[in-house]
Amino acid sequence: MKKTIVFVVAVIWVNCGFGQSQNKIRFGTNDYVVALKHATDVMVNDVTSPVAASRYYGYINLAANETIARFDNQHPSFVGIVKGLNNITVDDKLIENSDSQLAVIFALYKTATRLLPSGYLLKKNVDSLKLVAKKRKLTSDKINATNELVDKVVEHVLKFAHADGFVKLSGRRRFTPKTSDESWQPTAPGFISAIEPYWNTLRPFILDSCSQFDPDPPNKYSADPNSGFYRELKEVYELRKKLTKEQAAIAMFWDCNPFALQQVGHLEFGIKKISPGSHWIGITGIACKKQKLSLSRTAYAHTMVSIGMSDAFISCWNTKYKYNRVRPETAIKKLLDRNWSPLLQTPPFPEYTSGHSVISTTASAILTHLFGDHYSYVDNTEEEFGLTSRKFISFAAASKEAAVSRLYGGIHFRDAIENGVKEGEKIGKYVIKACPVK
Amino acid sequence: MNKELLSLHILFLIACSAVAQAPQPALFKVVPNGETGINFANILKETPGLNIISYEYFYNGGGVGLGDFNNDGLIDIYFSGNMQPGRLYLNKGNWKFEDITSKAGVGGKKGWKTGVSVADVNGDGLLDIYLCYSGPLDRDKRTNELYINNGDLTFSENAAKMGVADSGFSTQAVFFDYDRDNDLDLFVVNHNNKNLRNFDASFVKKMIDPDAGDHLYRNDNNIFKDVTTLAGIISNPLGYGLGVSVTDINNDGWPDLYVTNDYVEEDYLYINNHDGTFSEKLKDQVGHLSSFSMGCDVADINNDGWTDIFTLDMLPEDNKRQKLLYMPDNYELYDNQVKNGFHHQLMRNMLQLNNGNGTFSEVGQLSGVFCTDWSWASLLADFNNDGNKDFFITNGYGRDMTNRDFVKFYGNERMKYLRGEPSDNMFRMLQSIPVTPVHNYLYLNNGNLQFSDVSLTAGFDKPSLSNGAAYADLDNDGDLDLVVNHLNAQAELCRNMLVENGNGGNWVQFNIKGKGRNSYGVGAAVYVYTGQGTMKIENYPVHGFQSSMQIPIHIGLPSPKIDSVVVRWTDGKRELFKNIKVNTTNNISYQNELSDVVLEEHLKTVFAPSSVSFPYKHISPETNDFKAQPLMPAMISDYGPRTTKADVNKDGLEDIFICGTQLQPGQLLLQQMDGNFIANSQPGFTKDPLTDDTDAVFFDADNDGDQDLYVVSGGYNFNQGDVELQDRLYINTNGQFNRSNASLPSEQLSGSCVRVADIDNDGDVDIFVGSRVVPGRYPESPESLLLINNGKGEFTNAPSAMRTPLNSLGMVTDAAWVDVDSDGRKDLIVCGEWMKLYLLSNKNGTLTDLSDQYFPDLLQGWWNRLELADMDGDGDLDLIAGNWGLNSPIKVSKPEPAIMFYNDFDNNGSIDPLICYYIQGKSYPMASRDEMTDQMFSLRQKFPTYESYSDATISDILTPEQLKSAKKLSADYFETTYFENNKGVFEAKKLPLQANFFPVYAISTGDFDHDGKQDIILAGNIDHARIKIGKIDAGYGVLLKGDGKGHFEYISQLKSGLSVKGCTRDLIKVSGRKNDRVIFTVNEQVPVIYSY
Repeated sequence: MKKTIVFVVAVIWVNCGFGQSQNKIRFGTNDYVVALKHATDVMVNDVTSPVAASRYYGYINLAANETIARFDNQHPSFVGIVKGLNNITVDDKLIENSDSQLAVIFALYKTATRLLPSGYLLKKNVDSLKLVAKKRKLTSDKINATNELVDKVVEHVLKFAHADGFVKLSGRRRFTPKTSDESWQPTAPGFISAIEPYWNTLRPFILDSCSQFDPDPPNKYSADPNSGFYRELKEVYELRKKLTKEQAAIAMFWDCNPFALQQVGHLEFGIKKISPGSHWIGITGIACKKQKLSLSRTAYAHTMVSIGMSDAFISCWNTKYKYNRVRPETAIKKLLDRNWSPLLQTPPFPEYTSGHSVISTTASAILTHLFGDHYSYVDNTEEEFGLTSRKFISFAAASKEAAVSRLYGGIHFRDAIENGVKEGEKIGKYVIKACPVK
Repeated sequence: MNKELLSLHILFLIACSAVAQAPQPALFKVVPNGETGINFANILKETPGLNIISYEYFYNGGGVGLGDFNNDGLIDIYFSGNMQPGRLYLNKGNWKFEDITSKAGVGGKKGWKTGVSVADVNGDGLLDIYLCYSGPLDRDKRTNELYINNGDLTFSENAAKMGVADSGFSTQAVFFDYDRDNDLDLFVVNHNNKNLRNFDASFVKKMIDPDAGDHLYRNDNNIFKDVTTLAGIISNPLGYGLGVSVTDINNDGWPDLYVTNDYVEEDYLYINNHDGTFSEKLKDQVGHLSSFSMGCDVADINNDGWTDIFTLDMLPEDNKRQKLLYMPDNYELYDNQVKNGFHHQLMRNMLQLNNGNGTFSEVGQLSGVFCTDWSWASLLADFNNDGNKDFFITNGYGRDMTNRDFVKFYGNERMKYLRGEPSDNMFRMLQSIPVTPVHNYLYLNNGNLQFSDVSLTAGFDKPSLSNGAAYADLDNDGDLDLVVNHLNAQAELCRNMLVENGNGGNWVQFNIKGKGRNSYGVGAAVYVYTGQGTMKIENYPVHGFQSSMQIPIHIGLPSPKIDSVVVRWTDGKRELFKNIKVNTTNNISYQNELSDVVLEEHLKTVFAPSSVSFPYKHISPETNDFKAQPLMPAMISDYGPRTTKADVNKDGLEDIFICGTQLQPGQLLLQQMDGNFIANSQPGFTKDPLTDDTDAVFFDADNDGDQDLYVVSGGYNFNQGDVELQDRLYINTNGQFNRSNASLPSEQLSGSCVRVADIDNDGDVDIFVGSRVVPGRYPESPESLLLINNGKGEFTNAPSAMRTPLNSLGMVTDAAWVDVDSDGRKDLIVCGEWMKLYLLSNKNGTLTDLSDQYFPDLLQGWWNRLELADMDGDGDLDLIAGNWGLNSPIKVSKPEPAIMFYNDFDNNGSIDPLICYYIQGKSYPMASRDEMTDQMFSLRQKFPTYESYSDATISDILTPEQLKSAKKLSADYFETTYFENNKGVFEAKKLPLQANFFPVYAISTGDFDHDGKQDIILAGNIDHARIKIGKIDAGYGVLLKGDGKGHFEYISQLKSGLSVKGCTRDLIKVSGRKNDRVIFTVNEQVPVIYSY
């Protein structure tokens, strides 16, 4: 029953409501999606970790959303909902002299420019945006005023971001792998040290705490063939032998490894792809475009998905370092086959729960809430990385596939996936409930 | 220095500067190929099917083989080319050469050609050529070839018939007589052609791979039999063999082998067991080795009669290429390799000095020969005829494969750009990797392990890609010329201009004729004795990389007179030659009627291993301080175990207390009448929480006539204010120690040392406690403590006016009380990391800083330890101060100090310690780009690429405001030094270089050799420096013999008998009933005890 209600709400939200008063469309959903993609490209270039990417998306989209809220008091603002985000005051005159649509795109670029390590790469996009604005008949005064306004909002959001605990991470003790069999170990080929062990110290956007939706504990490590752990270990191992083409394709499609290290002798380089969060940002863009949403609704949808995923990552990373569980690759080499290697490269952090399962489920819950239950679409986000598009009948179908893809890829056990899905579901629901709707 | 000497010295300086001003003719001159008739270039054609991806040793280049193939007294040249036929050039004299390849028929078959080995394989007196094959080809295209010399400058390929057509992926082969039966056997170095880096290396290590593993062949009447397994040769798939040297490393008369391996597999040191087998002993004998070992060479570089080993790696010399190419420190990977039996591997050239007792001291950084970029051949030979072997090194790689920007950014960009052309996209990506030719290196050996880099002035200033190289006296003028095989460029002959420049030096050459089929006497060792040292050369033709030179033995001489020459023949027999003249070539052949010359008499060493029982092993938690502060130079946590001694039970025998760790409480060991020690259980120690104790002292705290104990709690892995940092005082009651809780003021500083003295002359003993560091906040340090005794063993902090200088000493490591001004009150000397030596004068109980007066040199060092003793017998106490030493990549001096800028620059609550030091005249940060941007996230935007960071100095990294607010520490002096107390002024005097092979953590003085004069023992080493610095482990306990006048002489390990492996942290002399002993307490190990 509940499902239907969500569906109805979603349909209403999509078809009418706020953000319809713009008389002329200069910048729309497409511009939004393109600008965000530019930011994604920079993150791919920088080999931004999945967790860090989710944080960046959160603030970038939040800045865009709050920019619109300055113009349209009907637009749902996250002030008062996202913890610690205070009201952003901008001079009325400045608002009057600015263009709301340009402001949104500006806000995206400018926040990304300031936040991302290689943000400087976006400066050319900001410059060309100004030219486009002129072409689209905005006066220099208007552009300048918009610029000024956006700077204020961006400054406010960045100040807010600066206080979330991220900058303190560089002062924390680096992770030291434990030596016991049940503990996570660095894996080939890079033997990279575990990333972001203190991500749980970051301030969430919506959640009360990183441990609010702690999943059940994982199967306990055991070499006993009758144990749950061993059974699931065996499942990963056996599956690799009889993996179907379709399963392999699914694993590859959802690999989302920002840096698959390639080593040939001394030759070394990484094949880069978007991270899981970027993938779902891409899906959000596909849905917004397909639905021909207004710019403001697009911003709102992206903000909700990205802060939801950001919190999901914080929760998941808390779980990961709480249990610090060994990866299948390490345990299989130890217990079953010393020459085993998974289809996908094992990511450099503990196994439980599966990050892709958690955040995909959260994202799909939010998208389902926004766009409806049986929303079919074609996911072409991975095309640029040489992977074929996949068609999905619903967001839930996609997130389920993303979750199980980690089993096919040989990098997660089943309980990390199933409990990860549950963790993601709860977070999704909570975020949906907390988010403003006007 | 007397006046005469001084003026000579000045004259010499003037002469030197005059020479420096005049344009000095280059030592080597390339003879143009137009003149020589040499026309060989090893040209590589990269194709989509054959390139660095299909064959990972694509850029390794070709070799050089030198020998007199027609016995006309002139050395001929063979070049191997990877993708083209090799070429044989006949030396016609006067720098003219004739290409006789076609007639000789030695171009080789189709395939990938690598190493060249020149030897008289069949023992007919004519030199043959053995050619190695590799490449991504089928086995039959990889079989090695043996060209047997027919005597008329034609050759017949005979490998299969003689059983030496090895079909592995071969790099080089070496002929030598391992079983001393007077014929030449064969060792072939192979390498894997597959990339095994992703596999479980420890597992693969146990497998056998005939194509990748090395092979040994025994010569049975000119038929060679594969005895690899029988002889104990390792042949696993991780073999990436790139170099091999034969030498009698332990002077037992039997040839041993050193084999270098690229990647994860460690090098091999095969010791000949005299029974046809070898034992691989590398890990027993060297502390660490090159990581991506490439070429190698062996020679006696310090003329001590023992062969030393030099291996090459890939570390660039300049800051920019270090920043662009150096892979990030990865402690997980490093630990993983050590735990899986691959030993300690570090990416730089290693110079392993042979101590003659089965240990090596690696001193590449001290000698300055550790970074020559991606290097192939090392040739250790005397190029300037002064009696010291110099180093010639070739280098250069086809592409900068490890460029970090390529790894992180461009590799992917290129792949993306090329997507859709799967057939050759990797190939095209490859072609976008930059090529950076680098000049070759020539280091002249100045003696005393010091080298001068003369590359740019000696004719090697031109950047090139160079691989195999060989030396020989091509024009018979008495100096060694060079032949270099370049990649994608014409090979070069480099003429040694020593004689032509009128600076010929002295030399002697020997043509050696051996016994039986070993016609060239391979393996004979020639010792030339002169008044200024003994030169030793072994007759092994394979040196450097993929190259060999079966040439007359050439020995440069430090003096114009030879006393005598001794040849040790391959069978162990020795022969003495007198009346050999300098600057002559001599023929020497084996005489059958030789008797065994008696070996040197058994040495009586100064120290003998002691068998006394000492039931203790140091155990401390496995910690990694770099996890807390990755930019520290070295870990602070491994300072233990420290000790103190006293007769605690009044039986007239000295007992020992060893400080505790977080895993074991402090331990008291009681000496017995028979000299053995027994562990004494003390509930007072065991009931305390486990702490990291950094020092302790026995003294009578409560004036009751027995020895009480003060223990300093320190360590790094704590939080500020942890109770585990509280020091403890244990009161001795009839040999039982009980903690006196109320008698010390509360303090939570991480201490380093405790030193006691009655500073206020009130008849009781007061205490100084040095403060090391604020845990987690290196280099911050709190105030050191001065505790005043009320006579009852109760201590309070001294009034602040008494201890003003203690506020700002810095990171104190050691201190000592001594009355320097003879006013009856003890003054305090303090040392520390990034500190000068302090003298705090005690004026009526108040400490005043008079350092500038007593230590006028203001030497800022990374001091670890102080020891006071009267070394020159003048009645006052002199000082020996242990410092960081000279065997690290960080070089400092007054004009070029290392500087640490520190502060919380990015306001995130953590200290950012940014260390800068000089490289090639300019100060650069030590941290790589990733390390720097991980320390301060805000810098990620400033340095988005490795290129953007590669030239950055501190003023590019910090803003002017940050730089202004930065706190600074400086270090300009790293030498462990003897300070002679000269009427109150401590004059710095140099110690022998061996004192600076390692960071000194422990010092002991005494008359160890019983000559009535004070000697010094130094010990230390460090296992846990940053990976970029690496393990410094060249010290095995250094004995410096004193002459009673303040001069010291290094006594070799062989003569001293000291051989202490690991990190010594304290030295205690214990007098016993039978004999005196010295105990080395070693981090994580059982103490090592010697009697003397």
